[in-house]
Amino acid sequence: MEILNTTLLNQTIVAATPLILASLGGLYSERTGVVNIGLEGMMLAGAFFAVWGDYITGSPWVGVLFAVGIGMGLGLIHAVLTVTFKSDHIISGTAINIFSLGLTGYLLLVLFHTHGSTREPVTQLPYINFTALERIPVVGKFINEVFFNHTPIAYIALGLVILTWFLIYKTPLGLHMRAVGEYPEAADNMGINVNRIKYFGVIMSGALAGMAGAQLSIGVLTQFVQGMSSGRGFIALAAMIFGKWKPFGAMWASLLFGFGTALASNLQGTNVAIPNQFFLMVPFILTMVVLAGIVGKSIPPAADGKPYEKENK
Amino acid sequence: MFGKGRFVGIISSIIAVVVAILVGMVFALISGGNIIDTFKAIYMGSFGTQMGLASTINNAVPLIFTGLAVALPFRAGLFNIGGAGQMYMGAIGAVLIGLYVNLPSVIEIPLAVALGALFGMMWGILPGYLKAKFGVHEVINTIMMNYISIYFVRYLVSNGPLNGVMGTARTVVIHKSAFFPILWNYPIKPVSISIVVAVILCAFYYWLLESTKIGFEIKAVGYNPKAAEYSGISVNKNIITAMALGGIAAGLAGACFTLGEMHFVSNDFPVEMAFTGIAVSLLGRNNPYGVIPAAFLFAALQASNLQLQLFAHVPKDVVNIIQGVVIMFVALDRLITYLLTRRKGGAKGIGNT
Repeated sequence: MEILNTTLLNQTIVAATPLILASLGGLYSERTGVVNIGLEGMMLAGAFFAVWGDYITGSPWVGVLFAVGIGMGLGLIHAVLTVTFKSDHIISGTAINIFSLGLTGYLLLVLFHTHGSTREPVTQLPYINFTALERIPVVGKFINEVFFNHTPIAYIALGLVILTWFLIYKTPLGLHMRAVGEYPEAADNMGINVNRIKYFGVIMSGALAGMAGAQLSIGVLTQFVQGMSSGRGFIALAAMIFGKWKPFGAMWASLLFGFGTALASNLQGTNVAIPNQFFLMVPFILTMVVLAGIVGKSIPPAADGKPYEKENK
Repeated sequence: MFGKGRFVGIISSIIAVVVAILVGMVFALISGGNIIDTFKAIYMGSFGTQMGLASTINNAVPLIFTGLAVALPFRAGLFNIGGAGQMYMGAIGAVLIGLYVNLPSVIEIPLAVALGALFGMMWGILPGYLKAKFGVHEVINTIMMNYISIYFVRYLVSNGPLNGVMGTARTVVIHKSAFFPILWNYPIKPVSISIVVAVILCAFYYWLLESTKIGFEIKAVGYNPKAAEYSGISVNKNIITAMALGGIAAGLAGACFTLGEMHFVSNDFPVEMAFTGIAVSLLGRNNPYGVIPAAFLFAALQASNLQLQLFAHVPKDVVNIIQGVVIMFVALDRLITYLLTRRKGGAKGIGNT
């Protein structure tokens, strides 16, 4: 029984890619003090719009743009509700999740005239291969099989981890974001436009969750399946918490969850005497165990989830 | 009993429904429906015919329960999105008695209901405990437990010990002695005593919240946990109590649906009823009596699904869109309250988590 092989490691990256993007999305939002449990719905809507954009133009990249666009749109709704009207963040996020479920089901019928999933496959995102690497002795084949054979989104995700780290820790905008998330009163007194920074964070959050959805529907598959985000938005949120609201932390946590998922689907094929449903539970149980063990030690941005009102001096 | 705050609450719930239905209408029009056919389909499918009325009542029962499953924890400042999992476990509890115990109905039915409530309660207590002990947000854990229970039940009924017929994903039909008595024997859609159980639970939870120490403590924790802790109320204990009460309600949703309507448990148990419960609770202002009209509203919309698709050519997903918009507008509570009262700080915002 060969469980630990290059396929498993390759699948780890495949499973981790949407989680990395969405957990980064969660990070943008929470760093500016807005909790975003709507990631799940934004991802689902992204998955649908990616297929639609791809379907009408034939270009998967237009699909990605559509996905990012709808993510930003839903992010904007979340921002209007939570930042401008100071609604409860969790309720607003839940509304977005349920709305997305309805919207994608509705559009599936109106635009594709089907139920459950789109029938005709759309053009898939390209897979990047580097067979020349295989000529390098010993490690060459391993590197190509594990780190290549991915869609460009996987590398974009890695690039965005680095970019986000740079943005948050090395730029004035990042400083403003952290100030708004930790101590909005002080940020306001420094002359930072608190609401504008929060809008930026939440809309970025939606863009990244939307892109994560595109990876699911036109990166891994070539179709939209109803409810295909299947909890990944929430797992991404857990990854962000596990990663202590830090870009690289979120990435490593996503890779860990990705490994759990890949392991589950690999074990399914073997003749282990455990029913496959138990393997499918693994990522969810892992999330609960990890959070119970870690949360006490990781501290969210101080003003996370709290509405900021100017008049409360 | 009918203070200004509650009046404003009812008005803003009505505004939320009206706006949501208008948005739903726009989506209905885009997909080729027309307003008159849509309203006619909703009316005929929900209250206008005996068939419609029977389906509306049957649909309302689980929604009342799942609404309560959200409402009770909400009063303690907790957001229970785990209704789906708790409901699933409740169905398993009830079906276990219905399958393996064969006693007179007067004993068997209460036993099955109780085991369903117990299973739901346990599924609600765990995230409550994890919140109290480790500070893990209940939203994440309840969602994780939804997925875990979905796979668990899928295992039980397909390749596990509860599988009834090889190659299918369902149990066999429970003993007749575990069937709920029928109130209104309408063919195809008989209405069982489930609706009575649901209304009794609303009354019980209302009494619990308004007239007992348990309810007082839950509300105190929801209103201001720090102040509650200072005055000697254990926040942790009440978090677990509130989640237990929520879990019981969701467990009963599963149990009553199994004993009163389906009479077996299968793979495609309608878990989306639990998510509608969120909208029901918020629309009912998290008040145990408020969930009843809210549940009937969504039940009526669901009952008219078929008519909407067949006669008005409106996709049934419009109902989900309406639910999403209702929640958005309930979330806009403070804006509406402000517009109604025209002064700041007129009423408390709902559950600041």
